[in-house]
Amino acid sequence: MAAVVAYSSPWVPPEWVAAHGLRPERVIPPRAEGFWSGIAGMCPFAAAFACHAARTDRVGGVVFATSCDQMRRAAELCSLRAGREVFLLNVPFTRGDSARGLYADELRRLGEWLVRLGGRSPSEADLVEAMRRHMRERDRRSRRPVTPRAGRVSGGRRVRLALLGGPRLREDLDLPERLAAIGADIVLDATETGERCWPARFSEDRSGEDPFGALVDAYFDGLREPFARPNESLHAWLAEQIERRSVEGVLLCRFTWCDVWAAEAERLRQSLPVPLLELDGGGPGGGASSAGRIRAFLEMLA
Amino acid sequence: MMGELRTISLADWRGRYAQLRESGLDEPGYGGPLERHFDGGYRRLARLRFDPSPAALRLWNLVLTEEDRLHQARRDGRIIVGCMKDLGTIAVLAWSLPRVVAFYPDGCWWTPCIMEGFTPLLKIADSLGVGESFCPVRAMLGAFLSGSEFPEPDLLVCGVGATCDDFSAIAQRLEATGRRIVWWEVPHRRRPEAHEASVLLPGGYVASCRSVEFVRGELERVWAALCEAAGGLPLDAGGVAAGIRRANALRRRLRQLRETVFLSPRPLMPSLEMLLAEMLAIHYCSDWDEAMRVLGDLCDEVTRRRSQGLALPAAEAVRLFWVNPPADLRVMNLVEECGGRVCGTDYMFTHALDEIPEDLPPLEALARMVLADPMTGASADRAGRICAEAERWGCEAVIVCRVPGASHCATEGIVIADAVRDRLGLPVAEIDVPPVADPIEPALRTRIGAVIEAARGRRK
Repeated sequence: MAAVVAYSSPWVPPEWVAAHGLRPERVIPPRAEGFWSGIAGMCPFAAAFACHAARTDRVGGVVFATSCDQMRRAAELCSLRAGREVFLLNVPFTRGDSARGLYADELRRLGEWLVRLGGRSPSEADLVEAMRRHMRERDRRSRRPVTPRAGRVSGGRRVRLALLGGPRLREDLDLPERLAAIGADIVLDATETGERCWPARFSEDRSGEDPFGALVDAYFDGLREPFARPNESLHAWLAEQIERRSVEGVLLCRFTWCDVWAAEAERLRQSLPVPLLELDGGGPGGGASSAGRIRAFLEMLA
Repeated sequence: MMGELRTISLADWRGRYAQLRESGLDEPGYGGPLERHFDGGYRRLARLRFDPSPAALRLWNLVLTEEDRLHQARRDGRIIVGCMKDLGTIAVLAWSLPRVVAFYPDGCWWTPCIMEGFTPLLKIADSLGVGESFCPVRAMLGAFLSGSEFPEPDLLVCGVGATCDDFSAIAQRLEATGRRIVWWEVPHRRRPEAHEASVLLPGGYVASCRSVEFVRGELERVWAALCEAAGGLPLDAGGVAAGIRRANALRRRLRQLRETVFLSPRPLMPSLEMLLAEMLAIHYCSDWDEAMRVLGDLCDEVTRRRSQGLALPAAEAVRLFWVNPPADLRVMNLVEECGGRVCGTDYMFTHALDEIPEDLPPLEALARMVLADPMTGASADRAGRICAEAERWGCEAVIVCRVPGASHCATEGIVIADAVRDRLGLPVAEIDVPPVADPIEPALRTRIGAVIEAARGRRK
């Protein structure tokens, strides 16, 4: 049975892992426990992912990404403390050809690591097949409404919300359902597991000629990240999506100690055409006070 | 015969200054009594203890008048470059160009300390949503928006990637205020793969040749932007090799000072002044000639003290290795009051203390310096250098100073402490130091005192 490769970052292409004959598994970890939950100043998500990676027995290797300082450092601690086979993918912050080249180099290096983990060097046909399969899956997900239309209406009518932010914890997976129950429809999932961090569609022509180049471009050009420097593409994409989907309010869920989203929150509040509610803590949408704030936000919008 | 020197307060400096003037003190244009800086708002000075030498006076005056020099540079029509985050490398490039002055706005992170919080800088940052969950470098945002700390740079250059999240996020907010920033990528310094060619970097770290090549390309981009800002100078204008030689001359002088002080069995210069002296390596406090002169005076002073058997008290002081700069300068006094002395440091810019290779193409040499930055690589690598230097300097304990809110501080202390205990068996403590640590001073004394006590216990 193929080894499982666990990852969290959207910069790790599952197509690339699958093309190596291994099983990519995107981890949505539960809250950290024990040693990992008691590290002062550590991002709750970085702690949760590292904790999961350190404790799980069923993965062959874990991929971290350098997209934030906390995750970069969590990778090291996980490797040192748990002896886990860890690969740290260097994700560029800047844009342009040299950054694109760095990302391509890093994916090649990831490929070498996957081979050492028991994978095979992929043929172009393997890669094209994996790319098509994952693109179909994303297409299927994009046609699916993010939340079911159910539950009671808050303030007299339902509110169209965008969910924005980084990754999620397992405890927060039901957030869309909880929001639906109090009258909100998530019409845009702009979290790290949502559309904001989907790669661009692979070009059929390019995939046929140079599938690896197409893969690199789709991820490098497709993901809209707050850590990109500059990060105008995130703001432009968000504004466009808000207009296109008639979003009425934005729920920004970020983790305590996440500087990347914390710094953007006020800027977004000023620039977006709709109100924004910022929630921070151990996980998006958690806690009684957060629930109360969300209700008040929805009532204000309705 | 061993003589004893005493540190003095700001009030003591008044009489001491008059005495020095009477005896013919030779001062530069930026010289003068220290208390004028207090009168100008640097209130923290009243809580500090100072070295009483003219060399230390000159050092303090140089550091506390940088703002004046930058404004003078603007009036003189020089190009001002704000280098951000890399702490020591882009400044070498920028200073290589004629009529260019380079500085690090990052230095504003000490403003909340030096002004004891009586500054609007943090309030401005707060108003932009950059609150206390960020490291005190958020004061930089307030400094730019208020224009109170330095003239607006003609060009901003910021390294991002394997840097702390606080700075990167704050710099992005700065750009959103309409300022153009030349971003350049600082990749994570990874261990080279088995099949990859690698190079030994200054300071002892190792990087892949591919990484060095990548950074060299980034520096070429920055160099082009600098040449453009300097009036459209041609890219082959040269001067970088000479700039590297100047940087190295200063780094050699600083090394001489550190070795004299750190290796001395008795304390020859207070830890606070040594911290300031190290900072000169980053961008020369905007005046290379004066930085050289100040370091030369300090070297002369400690050499004289050593030859005359003069030293600061606390002959039994425990020799400490200090990791990360303290957000409150007062803590450097505190460590001495607790019976310690700093005999080894990693203030996050050890790469600015190492000599830059002069036998390589200049941008290749500087690319290696970028990757030699202790913060770009694994904390375990940094811990390795800390252990090696702590051993070399004969340190008896290690203190890891946490910067409040800084993204690197959550986990690096764990890795460093593990390495210090495993490899050296030394006591190690982590302390949290806010910009004004007075409210927690008793707790800090206890914590620092405990590690000093543990180190003393090992002597027996």
